[in-house]
Amino acid sequence: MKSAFPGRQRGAALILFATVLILGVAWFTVGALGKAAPTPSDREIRSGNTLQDAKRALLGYAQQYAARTVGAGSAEPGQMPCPEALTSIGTASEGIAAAACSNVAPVVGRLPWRTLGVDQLRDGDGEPLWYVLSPGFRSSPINFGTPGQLSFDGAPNAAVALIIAPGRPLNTLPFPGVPSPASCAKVNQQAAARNTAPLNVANFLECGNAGTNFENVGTSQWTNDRVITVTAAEWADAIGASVGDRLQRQIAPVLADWDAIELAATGRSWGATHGLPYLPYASAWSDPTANIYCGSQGQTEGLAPIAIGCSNNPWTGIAVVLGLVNIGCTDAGPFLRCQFMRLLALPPFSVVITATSQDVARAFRSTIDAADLTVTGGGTATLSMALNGATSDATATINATWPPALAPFTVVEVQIPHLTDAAVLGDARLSWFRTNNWHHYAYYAVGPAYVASPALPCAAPSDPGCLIVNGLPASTGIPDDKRLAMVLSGRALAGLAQPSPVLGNYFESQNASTGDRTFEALTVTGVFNDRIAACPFQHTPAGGGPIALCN
Amino acid sequence: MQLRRKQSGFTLTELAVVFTIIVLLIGGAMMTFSAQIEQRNSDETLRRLNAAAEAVVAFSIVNRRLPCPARFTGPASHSQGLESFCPAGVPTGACAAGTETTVVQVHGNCSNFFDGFLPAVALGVNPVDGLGFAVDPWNNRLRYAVSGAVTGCTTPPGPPPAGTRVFTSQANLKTYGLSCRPNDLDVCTSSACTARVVSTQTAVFVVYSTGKNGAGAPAYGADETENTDGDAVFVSRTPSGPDAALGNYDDHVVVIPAGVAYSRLISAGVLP
Repeated sequence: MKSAFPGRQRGAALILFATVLILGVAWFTVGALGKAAPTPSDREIRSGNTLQDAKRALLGYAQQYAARTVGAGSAEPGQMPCPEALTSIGTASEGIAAAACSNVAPVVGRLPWRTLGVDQLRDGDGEPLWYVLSPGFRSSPINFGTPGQLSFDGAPNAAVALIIAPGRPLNTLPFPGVPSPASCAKVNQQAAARNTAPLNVANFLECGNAGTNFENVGTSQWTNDRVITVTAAEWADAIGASVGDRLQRQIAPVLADWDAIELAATGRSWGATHGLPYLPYASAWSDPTANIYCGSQGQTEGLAPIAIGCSNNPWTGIAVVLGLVNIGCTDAGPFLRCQFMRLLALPPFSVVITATSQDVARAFRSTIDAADLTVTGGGTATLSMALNGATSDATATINATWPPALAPFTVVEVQIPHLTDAAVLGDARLSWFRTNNWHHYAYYAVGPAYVASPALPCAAPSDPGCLIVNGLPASTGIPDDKRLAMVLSGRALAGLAQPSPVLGNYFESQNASTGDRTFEALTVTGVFNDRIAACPFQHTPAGGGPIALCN
Repeated sequence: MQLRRKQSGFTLTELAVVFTIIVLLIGGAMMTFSAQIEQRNSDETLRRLNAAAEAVVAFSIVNRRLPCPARFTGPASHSQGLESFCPAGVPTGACAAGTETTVVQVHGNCSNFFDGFLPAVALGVNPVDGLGFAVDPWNNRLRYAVSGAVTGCTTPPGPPPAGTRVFTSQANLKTYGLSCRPNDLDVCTSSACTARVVSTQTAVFVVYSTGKNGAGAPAYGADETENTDGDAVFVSRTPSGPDAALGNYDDHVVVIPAGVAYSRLISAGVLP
């Protein structure tokens, strides 16, 4: 019995058990593959990739935001978004940047992913990313010189922003010994508290990152944060194009067309009223942080003369009288007062006043016409104006007459209002440029044919009175017919310092030379980061004629 | 002996037990295996979508504009994986069926802004099906929607005339510039759009897959239907089954914000 057909039975059982065994192994293998936990290196790779994606989205957002000219933040191009508020979790505001945050202390919160326009980014442990913003990037002045004020890895002022992958909750209480580095405190982070508002930073970030001494410790039992920085240079490179675009679309047109702005605001202008259009001389180049930003006689290149109160000189006048006694012209505060008296002479009664205001054509100044004159005693006056190209002085010639009925011993006077700052200096489009000190980073050049009483013509392209801007795209007009050019310097290139009195520390290549009327728009690289705005300048949309961005 | 010999095999019960165990094991293995395949397909879809998004951005650098979606009206009428524009005489608005063209139009007026497909042939994306459309691992076509309206453009030149297509027209993109924000695509967490995945005026294009269940049959959740109804609202959320409160959802959506697209164009020297 026992020995009857033992082989068959054993063989069949073996096959069956082998099948079962193989299937079982396969089942476990497949199951294990399906649920394979990510290895530490998988997690690191995912965290690293996610941090890169977040940085790209953050810089992209800051760049697009800087180009906006309407709405919140448009007055501070380069403004960085606030982190998500710590109380936003679980609310409709989750993922949205807080509307306001400190400009004087580092702000910590989760990355505002909805605002940036990306899916919620999570690190290798599935934790949403955190974001730290440096002081100084919320309120003006924000410009290329704004330092990233976050301390990172022991270096002060190292970063504009940090993006942190917080990793899974850590419990370092049971670990023996003292944490190293010393900045680390022993923590027991609670996973359950990671979804409860308000979020506690120390429940996510460890060591210096829980305070303000931010660091990327790397592999350590005391911290599992992974940190990447956005440096000031990266930030400046990101927003440079947007600020350059605003220079072309807002600042250059406003300055180039200031005469029209003046006419619209006051009803009179040098060009429209007196036929004397001019672009003011540049302020001679010097260290931009110490420049007075008032035009210098004869300077066609330098810094923009946009300071308030430049050339705020009163009229001084002399009068030639007919039939009247000349009492004289004196400054009476807001106007020049020229007084005359009729004694016993017979009509006609008239005077010719020659009034001079100095340095007018070195700045954006308003003008006056006859209607602005006050003539007492029933007199009338006419006015003609001239600008002297050699001195920038304005000369007003006023012919005033009084009726024959002017009573004897009557004192009459002519009041000539002093010139004021032109309306363009108060133009809203200019305010972001000035309040953020972008004029410290912008070169200003006028064609010699467009200053007061020009000696050189710019009637046709390449005339010696025109500026030349090489490298602009073909559709933007003619390269050598420009009357105004502005160059936005980038941040200081490697090895160069700003602020500096050296032109070459700001501008590169052709743009670093003065007086040659020639500028250059090249592709921005590591050794050239100037951006040019020029007038006239045009673009041509599909299906239409050219649209002038600047006349 | 004969009887004993017959009995010495396996009884029906033994075999039944063994086969039951085998069936259970095979069943379990197959379920795990199919779940794993699903996971792999899902990962592969995301990979293809991300590659497609990269391809769209790369296209925009070379062509100085974003591509128009490809059109598939039916097997007899489609754009063969190329971009589909309205004809030259229709620079704004919709164009009549049958007038669409695959010839690139400077006006940038796409024929299918929100109900088109990834123009895989124009982008050089693989793999494609027999008609030239990129597909996901379930052989459903990858879809692509691009913004056709803008807001916030700086003056000058100011807001473009109504209906002007900016992102898909090289000349218009250059003219209206960096300050313009997309003003139509809306990526929400549900078809009711009570909450958003990304803020409005942010997304400049989306590439998405309709997932395993495709887009053909009607037995899908409202959120999936939203993604194929031809409007500018899209839904992106975690997958859920038919029993979920919001219904079936297995689409995969990749959103690219305008900031990222612009910054790539700037670094390439295309803008401003």
